[in-house]
Amino acid sequence: MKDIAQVVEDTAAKLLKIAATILPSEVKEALITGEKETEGSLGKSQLIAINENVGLAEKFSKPMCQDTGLVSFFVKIGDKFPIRSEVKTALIKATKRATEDVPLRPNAVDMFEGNTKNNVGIRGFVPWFYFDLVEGEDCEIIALPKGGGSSNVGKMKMIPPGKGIKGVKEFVVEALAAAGPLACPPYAVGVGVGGGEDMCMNLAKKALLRPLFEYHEDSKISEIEKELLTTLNKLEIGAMGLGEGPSVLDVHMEFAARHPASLPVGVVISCWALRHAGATIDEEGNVEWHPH
Amino acid sequence: MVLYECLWVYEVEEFGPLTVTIDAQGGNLTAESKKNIEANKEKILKEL
Repeated sequence: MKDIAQVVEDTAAKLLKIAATILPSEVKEALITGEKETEGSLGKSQLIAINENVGLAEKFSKPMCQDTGLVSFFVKIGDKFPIRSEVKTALIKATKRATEDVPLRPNAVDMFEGNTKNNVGIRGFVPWFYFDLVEGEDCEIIALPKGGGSSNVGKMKMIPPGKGIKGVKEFVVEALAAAGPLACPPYAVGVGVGGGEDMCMNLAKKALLRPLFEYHEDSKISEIEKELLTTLNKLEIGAMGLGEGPSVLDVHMEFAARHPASLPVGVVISCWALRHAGATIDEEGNVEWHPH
Repeated sequence: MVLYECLWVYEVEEFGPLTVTIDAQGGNLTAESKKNIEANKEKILKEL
């Protein structure tokens, strides 16, 4: 019998390494297509540099960006998976280990005590966990280390509900225009609608995990995703904000029910380095790595 | 008390070519880009 907590720790540490060093294949492809289709030399030069950088990071197993992000984990724990709260402990240990091994830049800064040097907050909360309880024997872990520059341009607004879906679209356009060249475009955009002021942001972040070009199963929503993708590219932000090449690689939306008096909208923006990696561990400790 | 927040020390070879976005003669690609994005935003919002 394998030590399951150890398997969780080892797996999570490796997921952080994969996320920091190898872009998901569909993101790589989108950036390569972007390079091919960009005509202006200024925009093209940025995409050439990005793609070369992505190739070198993978080849040498080094982080693709100096900002290796604030660490968060999306975890689904099956009813019959042998450990539960120990998963949390293992993920914290994995974060500390990956900080040394990858290495990740120490990105957890305490307001009063300074940088903790290990990516783990001294008051809890970092790494941040999104736990879900599911049926079955497995535990699914997705690591999402998100860069600070693109998190800085995230936005949340409680829209007057009367504005409806048009108001949602307007706010997304405003958020992306405000982000402009600031957060290393081309961007991936996650939009969360409904829930409450916190839940819309969680949903927006979760939307970023859906692979690029995989649209919402509800066609009413997927049509809006595609419409926003076209609309946002008309902003002409361009690669690295220089006005040439793609502005947004894709837009994903998640909807929750809302309070009748509220229409919360969250917009989470990722830089071109949309980094995440996942694996599923079964009750015996066998690891299945998600396609990357 | 740890004073730094995020620092790497790099050793680089053959660094560049680089794009100059703000030059010494008042040229500013970031400002130009922001202006263009803002104008496009107004147009898009009218058409939504």
